[in-house]
Amino acid sequence: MNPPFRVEISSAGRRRWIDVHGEFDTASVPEFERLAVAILGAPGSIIVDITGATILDSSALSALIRLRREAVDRDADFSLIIGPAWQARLLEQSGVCEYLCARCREPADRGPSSGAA
Amino acid sequence: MTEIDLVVASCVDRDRLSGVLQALIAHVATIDDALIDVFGALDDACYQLVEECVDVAHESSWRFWAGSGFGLVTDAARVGDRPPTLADALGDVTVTGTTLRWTMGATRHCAAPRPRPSGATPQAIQLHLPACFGHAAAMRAVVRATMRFADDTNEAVYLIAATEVFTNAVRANHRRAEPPDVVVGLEFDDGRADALTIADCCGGWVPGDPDDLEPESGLAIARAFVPGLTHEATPGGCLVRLPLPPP
Repeated sequence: MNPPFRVEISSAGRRRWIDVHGEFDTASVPEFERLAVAILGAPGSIIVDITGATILDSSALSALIRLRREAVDRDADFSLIIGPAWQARLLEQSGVCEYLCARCREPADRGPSSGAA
Repeated sequence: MTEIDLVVASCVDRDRLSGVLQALIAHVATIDDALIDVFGALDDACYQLVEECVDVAHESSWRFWAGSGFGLVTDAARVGDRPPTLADALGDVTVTGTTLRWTMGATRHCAAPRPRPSGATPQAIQLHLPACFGHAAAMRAVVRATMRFADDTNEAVYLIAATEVFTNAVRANHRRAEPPDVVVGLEFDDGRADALTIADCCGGWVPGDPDDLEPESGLAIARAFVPGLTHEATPGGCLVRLPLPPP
């Protein structure tokens, strides 16, 4: 069975991480936004890691765009870490790859998914 | 109560039906109060399979099925063929919060599967899913269980397209005070022309609607990811057909 939708929030110094797992679609957007809004407000950087997402739709992309806008309005940096090839394809197709500062995970990234928060 | 209807439109092999049933059972297990109804003229192998799944669901209900149930509705024509033990096992069994139903003679409309050039009748199943965004997960689970893709990327982009279409159908049906079900059809043709159809009852997508950007964006994604996608709008509703890419 596909893993259920789950969001993990963590922080390390001025970095705040949002790890998304499972099916991120219209049904799960409210839960994502409820949790994500809690880490807005402090300066620093927000890193959303969707490498564990098994589905992403246009509603999820809209939620990411809104979060990025909120973060920038609060002088926070925003970036999106993507994984499987289909995620890059979806972002490119939607034309939001650059806007969401999407990139693959790098060795320097530290977060719950990479095992060191 | 959430009711999901599974309509077997033409003879479906046991493996596919098993995949569909298992996917639906796993889905409704996440819902507090849900029921799956199975409609259609099943052959003996499929009938036995449904019976086994009902048994599994019933056995599981004590520990895993908090308020969920499983129903079986069949053609009146089958009534005379079945041993009474089945009816005995299922008839009006009511556990706290769980209902197992056995209804004879009920019918459910199901569109005939599209004829193939070869003249063969494809296998077909319909799911009547309540107009709720959360049931996109059921549709995806059933597709994963029954359709084969060349690789994970192909599967993911196809499911994204299907999710966009399903979500839009839910929105369309919510234009009515009592939203009708979204009808998801699966047609199997031994991998040659498998397809998913998603139908709403309220006009569905209006391509180019400038006031509603999210559905428009979703439509663009769906069309890009499934090149053969067709969209038929009629006064009675909108039918979107997503052919499966060849493996």
